[in-house]
Amino acid sequence: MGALTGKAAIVGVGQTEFYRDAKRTTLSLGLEAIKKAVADAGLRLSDIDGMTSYQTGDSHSSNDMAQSLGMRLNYAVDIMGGGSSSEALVAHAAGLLAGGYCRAIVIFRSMRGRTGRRMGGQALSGPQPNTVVTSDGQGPMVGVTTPAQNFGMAAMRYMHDYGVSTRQLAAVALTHRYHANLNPKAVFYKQPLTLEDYYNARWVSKPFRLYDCCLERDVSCAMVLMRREDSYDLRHPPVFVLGGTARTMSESPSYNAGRLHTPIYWHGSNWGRNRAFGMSGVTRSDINVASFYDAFTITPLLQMEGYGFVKPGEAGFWYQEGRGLIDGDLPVNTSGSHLSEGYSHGIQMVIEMTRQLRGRADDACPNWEEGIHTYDRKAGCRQVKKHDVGFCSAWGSPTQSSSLVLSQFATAN
Amino acid sequence: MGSPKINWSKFTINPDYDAAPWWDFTKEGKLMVRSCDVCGHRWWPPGAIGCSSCGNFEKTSWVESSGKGAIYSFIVVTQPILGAFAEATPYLSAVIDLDDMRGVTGLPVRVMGVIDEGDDQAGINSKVELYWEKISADGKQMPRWRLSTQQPANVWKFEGRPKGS
Repeated sequence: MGALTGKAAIVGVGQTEFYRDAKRTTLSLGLEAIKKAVADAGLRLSDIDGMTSYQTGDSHSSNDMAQSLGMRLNYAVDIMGGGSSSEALVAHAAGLLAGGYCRAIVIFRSMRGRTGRRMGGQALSGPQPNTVVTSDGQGPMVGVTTPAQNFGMAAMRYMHDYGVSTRQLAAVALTHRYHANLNPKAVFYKQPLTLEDYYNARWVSKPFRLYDCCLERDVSCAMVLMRREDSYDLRHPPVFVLGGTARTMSESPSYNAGRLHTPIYWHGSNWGRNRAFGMSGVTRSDINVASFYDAFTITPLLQMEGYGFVKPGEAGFWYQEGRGLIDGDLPVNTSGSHLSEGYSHGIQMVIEMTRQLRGRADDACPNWEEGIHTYDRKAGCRQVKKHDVGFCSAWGSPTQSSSLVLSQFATAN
Repeated sequence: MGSPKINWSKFTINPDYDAAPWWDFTKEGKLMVRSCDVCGHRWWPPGAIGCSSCGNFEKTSWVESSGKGAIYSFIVVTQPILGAFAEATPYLSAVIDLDDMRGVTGLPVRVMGVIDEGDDQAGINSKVELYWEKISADGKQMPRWRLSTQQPANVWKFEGRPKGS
């Protein structure tokens, strides 16, 4: 097991709603999420002395947030990045807490993912009028800049190599949508998706249709971590960090064209699988609930296979058999996540995992805050039945992955 | 769909120090890939200056490809994102395995290209070949790609909705 296994815990989580147009700054959104996370922990702002965040040059900093709230920090660092950053920052936080750099640390992401700078050069107003390329131009020179386009290249080759079709991609969209239908925070709460809806939707870029792609939104999410010994007497049961990986990545220099040894759909999870479980002291069969970064329907498939939950090429058929549904073999993406809850660059999946492992998924059950659930899905209960150990898998660039093993117990067994 | 109409007046190449030599070669109609003088690995894109096989970046050379290859993977872009490509949709962009270039691990060197007539005709394994289009007053040219006359039997085409689903 890792030196820090079970040493740190997530003690508070908070998020804004997923706005189509928040008409608010990333500062305002961030402050709301941070205050909610601190309150969820049962702490005061003055108890927090560390803060980290990630962004892509599109947000406010830890410094901005702390000063707006009158917080005096002992540690403040902001990193560059999108997907796969939140899990990496949890690992980072565990080290900071153990090392004594701070005693309670907030991690946040605040973005105007819909109305601010969008991923890959898209604009709400239509195509970019002019493109100036200041590097080699790979991508733009062939009209390929967005994540949907780049991941589409990986998806197409994967489908070719393993005999997978859009029917399996649809199974991912339908599974995550079903979970969003139970989640009051989700953009698609109580709005089912049928296979016909999936196939009738417009193309974004082939092989992806509209519901293969995540829901860009204006949103902020935050969480609070503390050392194990400080975490027991707070508002909710602590959720302990057992281990994981932080941006495991390929050696190859190119987004699409160059891979030294592997197909283009090969993902960092393939390199991180032994480290993540070995450090955490668990095996895949110990995992009760999981989430796989779903920027697109293809990405969960590659991560499930990369981390070894199923064999290469099988994940889509696994989804199609309903095995990822809330009462299936391994409930996945129980909030509806990026495809159907809203897109937050991954942090909401760690928040959702925290809620599930506490046994306190926010849902239609009247006493969910005390952890009392009916497990009646028709009545809107979305708490998974068994919630000892959870696994979060994240995706950055097509080759980059982070992961996180969380548990309601400080040691694996 | 013919040859996708790309409006290069809305597209400016102002390459950095690492990529500039590659764009200069395009003025002579040469498609170059970078080659490692230490271990012999070859790769594209031009902005990647270091060898991912051995870590050498101090000594590299350029080698010219014939510009014949086969589609390794592709997408069909249906939604205009870049203004230069606004009238080009739908167009097929592909990752292309060059026939005459391999890296030290044996995998082909891969480049990217828009394939003429691609949406209707092309798929994985389609044979393609290079031609050049002038895109700027200083003589820079863009590699463009068309389907070869001879096509293999095993072209894999994307099926939007499989039968029975």
